Amino acid sequence: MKNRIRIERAILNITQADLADRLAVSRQTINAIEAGKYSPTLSLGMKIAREFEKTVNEIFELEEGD
Amino acid sequence: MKTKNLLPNSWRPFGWVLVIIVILLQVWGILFGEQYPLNFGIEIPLPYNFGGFDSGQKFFIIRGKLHLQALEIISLLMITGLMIVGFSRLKIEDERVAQIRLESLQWGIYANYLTLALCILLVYGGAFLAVMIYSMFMPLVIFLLRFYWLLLVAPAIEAKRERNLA
Repeated sequence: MKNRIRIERAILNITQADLADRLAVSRQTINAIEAGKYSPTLSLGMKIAREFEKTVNEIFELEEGD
Repeated sequence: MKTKNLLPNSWRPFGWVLVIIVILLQVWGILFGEQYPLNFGIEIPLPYNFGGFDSGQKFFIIRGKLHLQALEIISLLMITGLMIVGFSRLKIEDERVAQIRLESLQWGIYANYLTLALCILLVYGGAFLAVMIYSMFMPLVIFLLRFYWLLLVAPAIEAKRERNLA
């Protein structure tokens, strides 16, 4: 699953650790999601989108094979 | 993240202490031929002492005694320690950690029973008793190795690789 978390973080000028703190998850989890190694659950995906004031579809995009 | 069926994070160090004690006792046993400092027995009255089904026995519950000796104590400490380390919350317990925990547990079961199936085919006699003893702990040991590998070691290797590339 592709995502725009890295770009949105850059726009808000926050680190992975900052985002992880806001979402009460580990920095490694944010890193794994950004790198496409872990697909978050719907609830975490929605929390991430809410943090950037976007919809889930604006942050995450399905790839072929997902 | 709300998690069910996990022990509090504060239990984790206690679990590690138990595991370390067991490892030290095992090393002691290897060095001194199982002359453990715990070499004593405790007799605890039990309602039932399983010695195999006796067709002449009318009652399932009988009077018996449990002989708790060094090897039994070590086995109980090992199981308790490994369970606490594996099933207590991490400081940040999120959904990815929960997923890694479950997948690692699945790996532990797969690896243990595949190995056991091979040993059933290939190992006979008294040596099979050793296989059964290892098989008591292997699911938890493999589970913990994979769990901590994915949570601690693999990210550290990845971070080092990224630093080298940068």
